[in-house]
Amino acid sequence: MLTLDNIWAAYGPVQVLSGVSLDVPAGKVITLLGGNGSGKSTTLKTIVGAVKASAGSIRFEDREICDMEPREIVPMGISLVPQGRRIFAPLTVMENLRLGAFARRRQEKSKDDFESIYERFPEIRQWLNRKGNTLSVGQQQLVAFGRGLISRPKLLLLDEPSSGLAPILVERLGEIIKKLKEAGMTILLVEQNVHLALSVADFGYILRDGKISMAGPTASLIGDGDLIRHYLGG
Amino acid sequence: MGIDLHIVTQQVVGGLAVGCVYALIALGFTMMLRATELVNFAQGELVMSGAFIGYTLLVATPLPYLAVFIIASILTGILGMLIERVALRPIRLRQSPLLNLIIATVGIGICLRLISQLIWGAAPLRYPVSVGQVGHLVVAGLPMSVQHIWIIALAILSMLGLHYFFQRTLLGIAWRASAYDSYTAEIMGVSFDRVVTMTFGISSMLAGAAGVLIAPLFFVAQELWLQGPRAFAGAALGQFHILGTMIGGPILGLLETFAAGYISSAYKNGIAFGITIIVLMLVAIPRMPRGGSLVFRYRRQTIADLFELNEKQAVHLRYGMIAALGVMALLLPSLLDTYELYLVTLILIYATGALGLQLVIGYAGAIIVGHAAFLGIGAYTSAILTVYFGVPFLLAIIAAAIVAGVFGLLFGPILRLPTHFCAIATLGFGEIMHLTFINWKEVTNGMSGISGIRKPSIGSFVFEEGAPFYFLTIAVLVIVFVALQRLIGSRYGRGLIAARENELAAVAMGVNVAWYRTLSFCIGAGCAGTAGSLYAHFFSYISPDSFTILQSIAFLTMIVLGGLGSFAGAVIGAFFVLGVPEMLRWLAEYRILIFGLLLVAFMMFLPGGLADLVHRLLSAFRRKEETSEVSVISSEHNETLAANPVKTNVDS
Ligand SMILES: Nc1ncnc2c1ncn2[C@@H]1O[C@H](COP(=O)(O)OP(=O)(O)OP(=O)(O)O)[C@@H](O)[C@H]1O
Ligand SMILES: [Mg+2]
Repeated sequence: MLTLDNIWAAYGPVQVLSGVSLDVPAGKVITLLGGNGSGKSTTLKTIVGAVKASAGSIRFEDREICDMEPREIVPMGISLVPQGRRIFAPLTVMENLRLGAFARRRQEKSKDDFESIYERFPEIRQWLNRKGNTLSVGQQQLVAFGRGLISRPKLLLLDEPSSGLAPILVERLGEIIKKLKEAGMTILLVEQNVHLALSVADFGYILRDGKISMAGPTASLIGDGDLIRHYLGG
Repeated sequence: MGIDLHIVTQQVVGGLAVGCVYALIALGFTMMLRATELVNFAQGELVMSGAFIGYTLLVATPLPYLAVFIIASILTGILGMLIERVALRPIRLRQSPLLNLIIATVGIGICLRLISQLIWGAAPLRYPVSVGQVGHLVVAGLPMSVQHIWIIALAILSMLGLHYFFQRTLLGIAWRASAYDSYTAEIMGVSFDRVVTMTFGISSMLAGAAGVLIAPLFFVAQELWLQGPRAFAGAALGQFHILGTMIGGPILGLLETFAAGYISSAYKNGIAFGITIIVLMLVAIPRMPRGGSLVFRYRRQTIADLFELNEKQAVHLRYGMIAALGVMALLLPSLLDTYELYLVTLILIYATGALGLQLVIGYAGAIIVGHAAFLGIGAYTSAILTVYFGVPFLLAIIAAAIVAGVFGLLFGPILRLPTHFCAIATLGFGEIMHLTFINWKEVTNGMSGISGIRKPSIGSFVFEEGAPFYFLTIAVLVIVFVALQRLIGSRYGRGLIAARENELAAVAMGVNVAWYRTLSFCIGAGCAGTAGSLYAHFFSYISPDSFTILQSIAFLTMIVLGGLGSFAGAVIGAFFVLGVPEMLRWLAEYRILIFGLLLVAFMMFLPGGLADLVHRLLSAFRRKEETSEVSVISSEHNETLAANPVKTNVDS
């Protein structure tokens, strides 16, 4: 569904990605692991077009999207739940959700979309009129999921959804991801929580110094636990 | 009996009417600040444009006032979007610092003013007001002007419309989201570029609406543009929140009306600026120093670098150039006719003042839009001392520098404000000083000015018009130039530059940034004061009209076109700004339009100014790669304007 081929990206003089290639097949959960500052978030930002790749190609459903703007890419069916959730604090939960569907505003089927979110996360219905900054971290994570899913994306990009969550909530997160997968969602999951990532993903990539240093089915990666720790440590 | 209820009612309603209009204009400022951190200096000119467009519609079409109000607002909104797309977006996308954008909006303002003058003429026009709007309405026994009620009603309706847009429509919600966190909005598909265009559209629409509303109260003329900077106080009072601004505007209107009614009407136009300065000083001084460069990171090479001269050759070159310039300066009086020499002398006087501004803007990285005030302070000091007290010239010119410098020192804390606030606060300072020159009649003799200022003399030698005065001016210029150049080479100068490039790092190095900047303002003001003294003696007559915002903008143009961060550039700029129009006399009014266009064009294509052009030509001559480009940087500004605003000063 999504293929990155030799992607290079930099912030000014700071080279961050130096030839990242990875493949996300439809219906699978793929995880991208890596230490702090290894370029995981940057990879996701490049996919949605928020950061421009200086070289390489990104194909989504057989279309080259490398040179497109987010406002063109997002409506094609890619949704990013950003690191740290980044709920709009001064906006209500309802408004946050509406924004999730912003890119699709021309094909307004919003009623159904909202209902499907309430079905998946029933608690959200009670917070609709609360401001973003009154939510707890766990609540924010659910809203962020809702905001990411309301546009009914084909590909969901999750950037460290477990960070800052209490252990019980991490468990719930794992279940949410598994359920999404059962429903046929394609997911690219960036994580630092190796345990969680390997328990839900089919295939994993490990990013180090802007390059993929290791890749394989999660089953094989689990066996290589030491190796993974070694790579993440760097 | 004291208070007359009728009069008070009229004042309240009148104040509210003007205040509601202020609120509309100020909402434009607030929206712009929230979404982009930019202060649009053309906002006032957009008010003026709206008023003129409305005028034409009223005169040329049978449309009723209400329809004109709506159409003129929309047309002004479109004008604003065009301005953003054509001129400002290219500058912004190059990730230029805020300073460049602000200067470009100043240029756009000049253009709009001049274009309107070419279309509608410079004479004030009386607004045709429909019959329904004149007369009085009596409510509870108290008469109110129907016109005021109309204004209040339409302004409130506009604000309600805006409120609805922000709260209920998806686009409005997207705007709020982007203003809070443009990066996250972007990945939801809310394009920041489009948000910026939309912001210009809406704030210009509000300005247009304000123009049509306020024009019937005054005549329609270019002067209407000043309503823009004045209304900024409304935004400041509202703490740059949308709702706050809606309240801040009317408060400003009431304060102005009552202060004018009960304290003094002479300073009415200064009240708004006073409020702006006070509020900004109280709330907007950043607590944390910022990393990242304020202006440019200059990688301008010296000519010696460019031609790879060794040290000895470099010294030779320098002395050679100084000698050449010296010979030229000596020969000039015999080469030029009387008028040309007069002009060159005047240019040199302005150049002396521009050098001071260069220190503050080009080196301290602050932006000053009221520099002419210091020229005025120096001129009045020198004139008063010599004419009324018979003080000798030499003492008077020193006193002029000191008095101007003291003013700079007093207002130095303004430089601690973030760039865009500093610009508006200093514009306000300039206006307040101008009003003071006009109204402090006991000292300045008001609008009639001071005449009979004698030519400077030292001992028995009088610097008569022509060559003697020219040599005096050039001597002063050289002294100021060399002193400033030395200053920049000193520990102080290095600290100043370090603070400009990265305030955070400079603080870490132990530079007292606030004090360094204040001092630069003081010295810069002193230079302008010195120039002001020469100015007074050169013309033998001064009046408040010589020290207005127009002269301030001329100063700004000089150093921007000459090249920020280059003292030689300031002098070149002065020759360019004052010399070129002389050569283009046949262009008449278009000259000023050309300045506006040049300001914008330089920001778009040559942000390094003429000084940079010289270097580019030289390096082309050397057939080397373009090495002297002014690289514009600062990841911080990229973030504030392109990706991820970290708003320390507006959000509370
Ligand atoms: N806006 C930016 N400007 C400059 N450099 C940046 C920017 N964003 C990230 N970087 C740098 O790029 C590198 C990669 O950042 P990125 O956010 O992709 O890492 P990451 O793998 O997501 O790390 P983390 O686990 O901490 O989220 C880091 O060294 C970071 O400092
Ligand atoms: Mg990250």
